[in-house]
Amino acid sequence: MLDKTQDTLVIDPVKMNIVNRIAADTVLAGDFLFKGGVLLQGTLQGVGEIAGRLVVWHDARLIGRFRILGDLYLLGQLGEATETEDDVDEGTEIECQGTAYVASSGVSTGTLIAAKLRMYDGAVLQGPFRTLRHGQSLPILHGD
Amino acid sequence: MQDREAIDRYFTEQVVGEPVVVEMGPSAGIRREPARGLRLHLLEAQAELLGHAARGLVSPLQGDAGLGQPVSTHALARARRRLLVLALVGILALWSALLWWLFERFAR
Repeated sequence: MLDKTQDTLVIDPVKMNIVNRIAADTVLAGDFLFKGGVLLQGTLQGVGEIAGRLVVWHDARLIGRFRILGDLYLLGQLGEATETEDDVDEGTEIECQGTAYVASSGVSTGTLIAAKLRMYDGAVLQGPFRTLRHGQSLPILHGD
Repeated sequence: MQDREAIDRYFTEQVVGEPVVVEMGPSAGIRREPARGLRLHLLEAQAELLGHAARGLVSPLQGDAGLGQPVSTHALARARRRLLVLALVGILALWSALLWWLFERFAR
């Protein structure tokens, strides 16, 4: 039963074009280019681009330098776990061309750059946040 | 011949999964956006919410509310109630106007 005082998000993989999934307990490291959205339930580490939406599930982790061409839904973790609450993971920088939604369970220890940010009570932004300006956005080409 | 779109859809449903609803957090979220155009953006959000509510009035599946964009179920239900009341008042007003016009037209 859903709590009426909470904002709810419907994730429909077909309608949202989330065609890739990294399952729980899976660890991927390397250089990636995803065509379409990603449901991340395991760990993704490295460098890459996601041409779609990214959902970082509860207990999932994204580490490294990634560019997301759609919206980001953070329910898990961005960046490495740090020893203290003041530490920042310098190696993680996530650029989101859309809106970054940080749920109350979301934690970011890396640098988050997004056109818009919406965060909920309980969310932790331990690393810095920067607004992505229009001039900095990459042009997205639509081919027929 | 195989329909590629149907195959893609099948694999997406089977591998990535069925639609799910997740709770993002308390509805009174904090917005941190550029100050310019914030008011306009809020109006846009309100209009969007009313749009979701209106679609929900005619669809048993509540339209596409919350798809890819978190919404407050409480605010959505409230907007839906307001729309219903407004629609009822509108229908009553139209009915009254029609009766008045008929009375004026044929009573003489």
